[in-house]
Amino acid sequence: MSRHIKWAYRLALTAVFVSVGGRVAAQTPEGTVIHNTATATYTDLNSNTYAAVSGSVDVTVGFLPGITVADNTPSPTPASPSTADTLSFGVSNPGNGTDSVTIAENISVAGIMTVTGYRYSGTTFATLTDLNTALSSVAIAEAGSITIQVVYDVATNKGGLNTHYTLTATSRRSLTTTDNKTSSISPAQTFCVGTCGGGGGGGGGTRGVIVDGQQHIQKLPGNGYTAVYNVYNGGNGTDGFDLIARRATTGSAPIAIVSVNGVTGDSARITLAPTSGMQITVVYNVADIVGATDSLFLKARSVGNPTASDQDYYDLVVVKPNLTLAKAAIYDATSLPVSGTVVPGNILRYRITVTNDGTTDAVSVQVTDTLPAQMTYLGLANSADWTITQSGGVVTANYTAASQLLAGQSSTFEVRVSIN
Amino acid sequence: MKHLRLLSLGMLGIALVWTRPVAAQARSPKPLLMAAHNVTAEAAGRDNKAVANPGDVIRYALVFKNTTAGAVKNVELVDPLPKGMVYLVGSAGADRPVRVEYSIDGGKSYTARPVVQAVADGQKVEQAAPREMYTHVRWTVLGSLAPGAQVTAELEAQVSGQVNGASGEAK
Repeated sequence: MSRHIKWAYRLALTAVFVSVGGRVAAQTPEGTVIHNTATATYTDLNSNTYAAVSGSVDVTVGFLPGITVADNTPSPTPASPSTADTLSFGVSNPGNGTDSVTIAENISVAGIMTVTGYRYSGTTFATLTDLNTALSSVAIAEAGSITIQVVYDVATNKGGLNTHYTLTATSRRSLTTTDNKTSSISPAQTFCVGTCGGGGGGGGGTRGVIVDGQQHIQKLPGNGYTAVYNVYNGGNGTDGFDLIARRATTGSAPIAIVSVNGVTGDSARITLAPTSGMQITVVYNVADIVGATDSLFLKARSVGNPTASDQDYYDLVVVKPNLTLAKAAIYDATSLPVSGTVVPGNILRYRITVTNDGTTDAVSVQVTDTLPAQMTYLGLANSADWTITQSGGVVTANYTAASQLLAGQSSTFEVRVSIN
Repeated sequence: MKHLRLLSLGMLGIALVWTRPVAAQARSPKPLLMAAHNVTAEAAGRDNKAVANPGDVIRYALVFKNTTAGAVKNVELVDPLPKGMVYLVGSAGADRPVRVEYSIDGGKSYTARPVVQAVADGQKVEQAAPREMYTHVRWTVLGSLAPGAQVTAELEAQVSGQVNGASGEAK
């Protein structure tokens, strides 16, 4: 190979690397006539030369369709709800001739997004039919492209969900030539315990956790009490919530948490649909520590965003009735206290006073008094609040003025007896 | 050559060009005839085989017949590959003994195996020229051609725009 030729090859080499890298030569446009002319030279046996002869043939290039769809917004995360969001698709014609397209679409999951229009060249069309009618007269030249914007709204409470929008473009000149691209639409999820921006610590919105009923409660020592809370998911998507119950004090505090929402222990996890609530029951026991106070908290914490939480609590006071009984002997005739001695035949009255000096009412109050053997039961006096029976010298008195003897209240009855 | 039977010389818009010899001769030879055959369209069963799509393989046939009263020698057929066509390496042949050579410099020089220089791992190396660089194909008929005898040369080229296969070799 001559030096001249080698230099020519070197000069050509750069172009080779550039143009052959993709192994796709330039597209020959539709309608191109490729004219090929060959020549033949020859001599006769005496080496006389003759004029070259030539022949040629033409090849006309036909239409090679090509449609390519490019997704310019592959993974949008619009708000839920939101309006007038857009997806942008480029439709290009890599074929070798002018073409036009029809557009089709598919939405994988219904109810998340609603297409409201299709925008092309500054005009928004309400329906695909309208768009395709307009596109029927839009010629896309070889290597040309158009942009289609899909305008859509996102429904409420669709945070964290996902749907796929697929746009398909089909050549009008070759119906089998088609391409599509898919955008994955994932509305952004908000995580709120209570109304977003207004719940939690209040602020006018719906609280995320709130006690169901009176916040300040009194309880007798006992087991199996229930405290009910309302837990609310104010986010726009389904979320999990960790429920954590606790008491305010430690050590000998009266409250012992048994279960949360049926789960033994002091925590549980629930799942709530967007803008929905659930009643949560916390079961607890109260120790016999009269007068002790405690609080029973329930905190709800978003699983999706643990920084979002709310809590509420019950104030609890341990209460208990405490009865005292005073018994006095008085003369039946004078109602004065007995002093000194009595003699057989004297008629006395036993005045029995029951007082509830506890912190809560007493129910089923009953007094039993066994009369001394030297006395004979004669009957009752001043005993309207009691139902009294006597048998064999044993007096049984039931407080029947009310269903309970209120805290701080006293009641008295009297039994007439004679000295044997 | 296996493809020759597929040629249809008269159906493909052949343009004939006559020239007169510059030197004395008793009779002008029959001019060179050319035909084009769309191999891809034929294989695909397309109706319109007269139209080629980008990526289609076209087989060109060149038929030179000695119509003089005497034998001729030094017969050379040269086909400059037209723009829009990419030669399929290895596809050139003939029905008589010929020497096939190629040019990648616009017909200035020919060689049986065009190469280019490249740098690989810091070393200058020669590589086979990519097929897109081929500009001409030349067939040199070995020996003489008796009166009335003909030689048919062929090559295949691909319409630019859709290159099949990774190597670009002829099928």
